[in-house]
Amino acid sequence: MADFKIVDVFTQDGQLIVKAEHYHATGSLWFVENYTWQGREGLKQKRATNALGQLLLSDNSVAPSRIVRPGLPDVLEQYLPTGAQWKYRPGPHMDEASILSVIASIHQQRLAAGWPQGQVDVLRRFKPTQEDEGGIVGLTLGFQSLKGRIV
Amino acid sequence: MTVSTFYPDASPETTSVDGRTGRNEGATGVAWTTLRDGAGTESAAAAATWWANLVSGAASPNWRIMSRALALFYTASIPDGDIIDATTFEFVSTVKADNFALSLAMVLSTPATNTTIVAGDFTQLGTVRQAADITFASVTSDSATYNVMTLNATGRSNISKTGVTKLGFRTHADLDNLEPTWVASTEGIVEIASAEEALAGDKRPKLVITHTTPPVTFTPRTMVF
Repeated sequence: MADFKIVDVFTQDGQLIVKAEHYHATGSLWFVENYTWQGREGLKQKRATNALGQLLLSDNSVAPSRIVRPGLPDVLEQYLPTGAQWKYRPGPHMDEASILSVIASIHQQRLAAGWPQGQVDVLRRFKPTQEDEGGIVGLTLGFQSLKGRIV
Repeated sequence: MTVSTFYPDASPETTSVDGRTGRNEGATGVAWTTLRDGAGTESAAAAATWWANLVSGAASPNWRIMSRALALFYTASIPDGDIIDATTFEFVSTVKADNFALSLAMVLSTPATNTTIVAGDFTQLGTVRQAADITFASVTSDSATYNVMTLNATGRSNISKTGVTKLGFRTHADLDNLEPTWVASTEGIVEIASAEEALAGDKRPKLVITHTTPPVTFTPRTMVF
């Protein structure tokens, strides 16, 4: 039987809201929860890497490395040279697993600790910033496909 | 209930930051007290990882490097009237070495700014635990699995609903001033994927906060005509 189902994906006050129904092992409804992420997440991108996992600069060259922890062997870390730019992957840093993993984790935590069957909570007004308002549309559009997902 | 997830900003930071600050005394090292109580000499706020570590020197009983970490989260979006019911700090570790039987301890931090970390922030980490320690031995360090630290009542009370929640991380030996048994040129470390991580999937450190809108209490009024 499924642990949870995403029943809605929407925005409120610059926040991405993912509403999920959680179920008992028998399949009956256990509780409903609202999961939120700030709209600014829609503006955050992940640095791009090559097939070897090396960070890339905007000209597609591999970023240089320097010693950050001397030892046997020395530990190296890639860095951004002065005047250079990182290359970024398209789309937000968040992915579906960012959302599903939190929901799954809450399900397991409440299974272990016990949880009374809850009513749907009324969402109070959040306090967004301009960053949240700027990123929320792209963020929400990217995760609409989660609606109806059963895990 | 509502469950809200927060991440530190990656570079270029606008409201929060994560990274490390440390004191590096060179290969020979210095006395424990000199290392622990001295000023910071290095920092990094835009790297793919940060860490809390302790490195011993080549000469007995000296210590070479001590690093502390900071992770800030812009949590001001949480409604002012909501109650913080539970909070976890979750991280993915990329490297660990458990040579001094260390634990990772969570404290508060007071960096000079919220959007970068400087060497001077080495002395800006608090002394009050915000969560139970997690032993280095128990940390899963596979660049994929999230490790969880659950904030205690003190930690939950320090979640900011008007600004930035500022956490810090120290080894327990550093926090409690418990000099480990010296072994030459050895390191104890937990290295953690930062907001700038480039691992497979999204492996940024995160603060997961469960919060509740308190019920509205209706107080009937007596009408007098």
